[in-house]
Amino acid sequence: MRPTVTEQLQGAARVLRDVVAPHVTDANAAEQLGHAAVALDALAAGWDRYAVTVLADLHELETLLADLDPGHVPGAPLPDPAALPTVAELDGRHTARRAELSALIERLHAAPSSAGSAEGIADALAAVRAQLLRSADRFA
Amino acid sequence: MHDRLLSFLRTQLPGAEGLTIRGLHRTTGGQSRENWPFDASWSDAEGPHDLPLLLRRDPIGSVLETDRRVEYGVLVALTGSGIPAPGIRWIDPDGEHLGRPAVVMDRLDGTCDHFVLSGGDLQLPEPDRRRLAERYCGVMASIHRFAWRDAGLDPAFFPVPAHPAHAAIDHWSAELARQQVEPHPELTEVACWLREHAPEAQTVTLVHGDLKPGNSLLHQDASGRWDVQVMLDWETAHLGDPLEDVGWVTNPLRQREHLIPGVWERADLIARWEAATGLTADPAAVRFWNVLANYKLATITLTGVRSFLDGRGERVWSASRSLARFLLRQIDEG
Repeated sequence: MRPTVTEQLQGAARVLRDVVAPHVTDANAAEQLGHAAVALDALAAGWDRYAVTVLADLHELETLLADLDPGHVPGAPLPDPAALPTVAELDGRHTARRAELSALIERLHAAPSSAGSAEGIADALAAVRAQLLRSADRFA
Repeated sequence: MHDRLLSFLRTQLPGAEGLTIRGLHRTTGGQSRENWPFDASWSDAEGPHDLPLLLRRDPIGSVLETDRRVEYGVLVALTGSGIPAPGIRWIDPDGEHLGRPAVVMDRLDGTCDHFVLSGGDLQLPEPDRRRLAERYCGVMASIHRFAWRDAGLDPAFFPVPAHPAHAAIDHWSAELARQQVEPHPELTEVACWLREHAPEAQTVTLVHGDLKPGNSLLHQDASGRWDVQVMLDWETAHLGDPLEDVGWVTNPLRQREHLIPGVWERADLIARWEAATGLTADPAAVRFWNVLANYKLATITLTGVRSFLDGRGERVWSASRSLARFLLRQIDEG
């Protein structure tokens, strides 16, 4: 979803550097502002890999503890880090499906007679609206 | 900017002597245009002049991409009409002098209070707020009564729509298509609903397009009474269905700006507008324009998103899913 989290973090850093910083005259405030912008840049660069990184480390930790600590109680099986998609990958797929849904909505509204019975079209549109509402609730 | 503006004013005031500008600075107000208040003084054959003025210039990135020639044209047409609009002075239509397209208009001092009707900064007593609400409604009605056919509006910038509702959907759908950076099936569904519910207009009038207390300046007279001094931001003015403005100010999402619960409700506003204009506000048509208002707001938000993503905007925008949710519920109501 645009702007993505990465784009929002990068944009916030840009606004701080390009719009706010030139007008900050207090030396300490300017220095802290610089640190805040750098922190946002670092988050933008790394946040999307965070879950994969934690998962990979967790795998190693649990294997190590299972080998070495007799008192270790294994938790639920973990997914394979290599199979875990990044948010960018999920976003890309999500966007493609939403484009498909947009096209479907236009088809349903434009050609009800060729796409099926009027009742079928109404049911389909009701299902579409219900999904759109659930999605909006989810992201709002 | 100071030197550019001075040079521009010299081209507009060829007979001026001793031209100076003072106090030029960019204000924080306004998300769609840059506002630069300043004072200018000069002498010419008529004598000395010392005027408070406002430069409105296109920003690098905006939430709303409009043509300064529209704003200039409508303000020229409204001069002397009695409608409270700022006096317009000069235009740099393509930014030849000022870097980007801009207009210079008279600057009026006054108070801008976005939520004056529900309390806002001024916290006026209820009878005063009711009177102001009626006044805003009266200003809207006067815009809709304006004799635009005799006003010399340039048809290149003020086309007369054959079907105002369809024209509005076409305009905002085209704008959405131009600005969106990803698909928005919610808005596709809303656009389809709008096309299926587009009402016929009973007449074509001048439409302001963004009436709200936040686009006005208030002043206090000698007796302490607050009144609307001027309506600002005419950049989205066009010819269309007057119910577009009615739908804008009765948008349920923004009732805190336009209504006073229990005192000045939607029905009061519509009844007063009908009485003042002699027009009727069909409830289904007003509902259509309420939905169109939020479709327009969603497009404006996505224009901000694009501007931000292109690195042109100064504000961190995100797509408003809560507005999409509100719109879907609006069209689901019947």
